[in-house]
Amino acid sequence: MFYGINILIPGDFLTPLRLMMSQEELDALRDTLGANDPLIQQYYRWIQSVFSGEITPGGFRQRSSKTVLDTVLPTLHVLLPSFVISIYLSRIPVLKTKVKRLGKEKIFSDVFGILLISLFPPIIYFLIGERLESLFRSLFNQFEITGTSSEILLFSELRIGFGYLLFAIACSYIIVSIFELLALIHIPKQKLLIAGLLLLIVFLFFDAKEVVTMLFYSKNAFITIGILTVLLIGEFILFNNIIVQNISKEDHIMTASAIGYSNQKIFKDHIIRNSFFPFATRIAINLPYTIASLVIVESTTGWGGMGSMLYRAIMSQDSNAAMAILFLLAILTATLRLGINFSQIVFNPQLRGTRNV
Amino acid sequence: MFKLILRSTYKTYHGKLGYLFLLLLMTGSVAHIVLLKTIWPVNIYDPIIGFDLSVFPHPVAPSGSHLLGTDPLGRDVLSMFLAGSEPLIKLSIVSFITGLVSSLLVGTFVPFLFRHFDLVLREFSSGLVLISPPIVLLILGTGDFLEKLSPETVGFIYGTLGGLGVCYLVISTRVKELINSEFLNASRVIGASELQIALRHILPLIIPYSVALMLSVTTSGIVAYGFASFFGQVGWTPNWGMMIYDAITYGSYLGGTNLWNLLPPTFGFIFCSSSFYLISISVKKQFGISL
Repeated sequence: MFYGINILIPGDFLTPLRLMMSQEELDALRDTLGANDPLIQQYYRWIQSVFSGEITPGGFRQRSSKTVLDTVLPTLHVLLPSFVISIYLSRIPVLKTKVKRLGKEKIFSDVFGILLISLFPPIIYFLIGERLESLFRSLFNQFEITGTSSEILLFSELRIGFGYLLFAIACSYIIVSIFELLALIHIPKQKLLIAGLLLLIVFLFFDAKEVVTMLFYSKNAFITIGILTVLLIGEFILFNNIIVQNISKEDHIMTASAIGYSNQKIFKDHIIRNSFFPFATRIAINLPYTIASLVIVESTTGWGGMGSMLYRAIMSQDSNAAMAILFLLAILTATLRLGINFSQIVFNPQLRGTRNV
Repeated sequence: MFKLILRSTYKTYHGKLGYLFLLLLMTGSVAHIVLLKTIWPVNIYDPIIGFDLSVFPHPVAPSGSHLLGTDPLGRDVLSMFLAGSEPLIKLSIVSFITGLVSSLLVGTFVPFLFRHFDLVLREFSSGLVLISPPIVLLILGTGDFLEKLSPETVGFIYGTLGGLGVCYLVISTRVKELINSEFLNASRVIGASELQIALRHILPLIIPYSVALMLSVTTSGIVAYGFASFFGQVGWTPNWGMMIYDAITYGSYLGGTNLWNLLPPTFGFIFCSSSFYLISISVKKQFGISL
């Protein structure tokens, strides 16, 4: 399917050379490199090369497999923290609603969710980009931290990449905890513990210079995370509204309410636990749209992830690189979906029961 | 059935608000055509090539002659805002109708009358669900197709992807749930043909599902068209995406990026997408659809 989409890209990987070569030379090169072969043959060749570890085949390459693969970690650096923050923050409106009002229409919350979805990433960038940048600048000045984000190139990319992933997830848990405290929901002990443990790992296994580099890298990362989070929160608020409304009509909620359980207990023990699986299913269905948002957000902030690489590849008609990224995105989507399905089988007693029968 | 949907959705707050937004946008679109033909001189108020020579430098703040000010290229923001609703209304209508027709046509008959073919079509639909329509638009907009990428074409592409994708999957599951229900068996016993059952019994029950889903898909279509227009992938049509692009890009060179250039298109997108989404929620509520 993704190979099919790639065929729609006008021209081929040799099209950008038309400014440097004559049409005859270009045609000759196309014949030599097999760009004129039947599609089925090209597809077979591509599958073969994928299995041999080369995902951008085609002889002439504007971007190598390594260049494309290097965008995977930066994508996860923004995608995972955005998911963590938006999943928890999108629950706040529901958590602040009384149980007996959950089945009613939530027009303000719905409109707010749609408002966030319809906000254009460039507008969000315009609204929060400058502010976040000045916040980071003042923090760096306050703690006398000096350096540049380009120093990240001096260290092993994979090592620091994984280190930064832990750091970003820890930061996102701290952000969520702050918001939950501000919203007077509860004291998020577990989240703070997870954040503390992740930060401890980062401080134990990375030296001071690497940590400073991560802080500088955070500046650009958190602008991208901020924009992506705003879009995802809107989407997740709408998901939560529908799911929670359906769950609140179930008998066990009415029973719990009649027994006299507190709002907090009903939410914690009944609603949130039961909402996890429908919520996860919706996230899985919506992944292609999340990926589209990633393309827009990354190309707006100039973040070097798969989204901005895909945008540049399409614009420069580099169909090989575009194919490689679409392939990686397909793997990412499939992995996330499999992860969600697997967790459903592991944690959902109803599904476990069916399996045992 | 459609009359019933229209009447029942209007009874909810979501529906009322959705229809109000839609009405405002349609009125704006008509008002733009009328104003341009009667009061506004075309050379000043044209949404693409208009330029007001009497004021300088552009952009100018909202005033009597330009109620929402002008953009960095000297065009009237109100005129651009009103004109921008037209392509999105066209897109939404085409997308909704295409998706509705395709999903109802295929979704009613294939799972009910051609069950073996349904297995193949479900696999195809699962593949379509994985495709990200905004990326398809981005790809199509890079080539010779750019000039042909009108709002109607985008609506058609989006409607087809939505109708045969997620909508077909949901509808075919619903049809399969209905296949062995008692009222259908009773119809068979009294001699109704399979075609009659499909048209008289199945179709009315799945219309609300299709309407609700296609309204949601149309919402994403509006946002995707906005993205594509922001990147200049939809040709020279007056649209809100381009307004935002011009305000930010040219604004940074010419007089700064102003809120009066950014707010109208932003609110335009919010009104337009929320109108369809709110009506979709209303349909779901009124017909007990828990999707």
